[in-house]
Amino acid sequence: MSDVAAWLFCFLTPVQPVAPLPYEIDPVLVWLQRLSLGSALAGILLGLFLAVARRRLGETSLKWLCMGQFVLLPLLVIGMGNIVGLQQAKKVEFCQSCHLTMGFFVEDMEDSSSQSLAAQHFRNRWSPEDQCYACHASYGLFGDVRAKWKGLQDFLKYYARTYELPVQMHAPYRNAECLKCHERTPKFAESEYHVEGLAEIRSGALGCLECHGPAHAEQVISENAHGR
Amino acid sequence: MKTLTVGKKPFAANPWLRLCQVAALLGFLFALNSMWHTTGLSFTLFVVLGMPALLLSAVLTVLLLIDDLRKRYSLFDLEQYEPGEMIFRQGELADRVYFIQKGEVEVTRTAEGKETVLARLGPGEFFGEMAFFVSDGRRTASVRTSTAVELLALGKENFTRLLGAVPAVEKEFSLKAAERIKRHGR
Repeated sequence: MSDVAAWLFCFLTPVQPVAPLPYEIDPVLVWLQRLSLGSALAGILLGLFLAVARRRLGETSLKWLCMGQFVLLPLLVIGMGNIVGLQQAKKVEFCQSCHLTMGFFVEDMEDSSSQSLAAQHFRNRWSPEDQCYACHASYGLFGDVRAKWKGLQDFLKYYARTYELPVQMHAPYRNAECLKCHERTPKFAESEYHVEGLAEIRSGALGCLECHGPAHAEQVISENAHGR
Repeated sequence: MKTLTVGKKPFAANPWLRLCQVAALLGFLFALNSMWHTTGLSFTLFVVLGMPALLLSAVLTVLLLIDDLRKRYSLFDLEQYEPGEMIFRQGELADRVYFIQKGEVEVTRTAEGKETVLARLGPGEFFGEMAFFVSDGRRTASVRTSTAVELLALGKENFTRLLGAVPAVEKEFSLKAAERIKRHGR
């Protein structure tokens, strides 16, 4: 329960794990975040004001305030909150906030001496930001939605303690996650294995990681790691 | 069906408003938590609990405001009847007074198995008030439509309040009831 309480009230501990570099900051996102924070705060303050003073206000003023507090501000917060939340959800820190046992993979990815695929992608800036998301969520609207939907299922399983050990991936790693960046590159086309086996690679009969893997350094997970 | 405004409670006293407040407050707290520091848990709580709470608050408030507008700008229920339809029967419990907008109705009374037509009423006239003046709240006669009819119905509670609030109206209805009793008996 302590971790739930700590996360539930995480707004009391305004810690940003990794400070972004200046050119990594999206000003639109920053302003959206500020606006949605401001709207949520305004909603709370206005709600407290209405709770105290609603009987002293005139009918018309009360209705306008209700319209603002219970209709407009919630719609603003829902809209902006989702945009900001879904963007923040692509960051490595966000993924790590739930996938606790994968902290090892993140450490390995940031390790300059590691030879794992993830570390090479990180070190060479092939995947300059949102590294987890770049390789583990398909492009497009439905890729995002599918990733979040699976995340929600995992979230419920974790807190309901209904998951099975050892934890496994939902499905084998899809070649499409590699091909979406690599397939049309000259380097990919240079390899005769890629050219001759393209059909098999596309269909998944021949996995990318079978030749190039593993993507992450191997990790031994004890059963205690899942909080059981 | 339209409802009445006489005796309407003020918007601030609507108990559903409190539910809106609680739902919105919860939603804003989850949103604040999620926006301040977006983690898997804070964002999921916002999506699973905060967003539904905010949506509930928004939808409920819109419904409350629409309902309030409807009550503010309507006083009577508008009722439409086909020719030959029975509006109420003698002896039934009375719950409203009717004002004729269009068409014609026939007022009848049955005594010892014999039905007598007491009156035919048209646009601008009213009926159904006798039950509130002379009987124990039951209809003293039956009313049936002669043609297609459009009526404005005023509920019992609001009719009583209206009489209490405007003595001139009460006097008018009392005089009419007395005249009808004199002509047709109770």
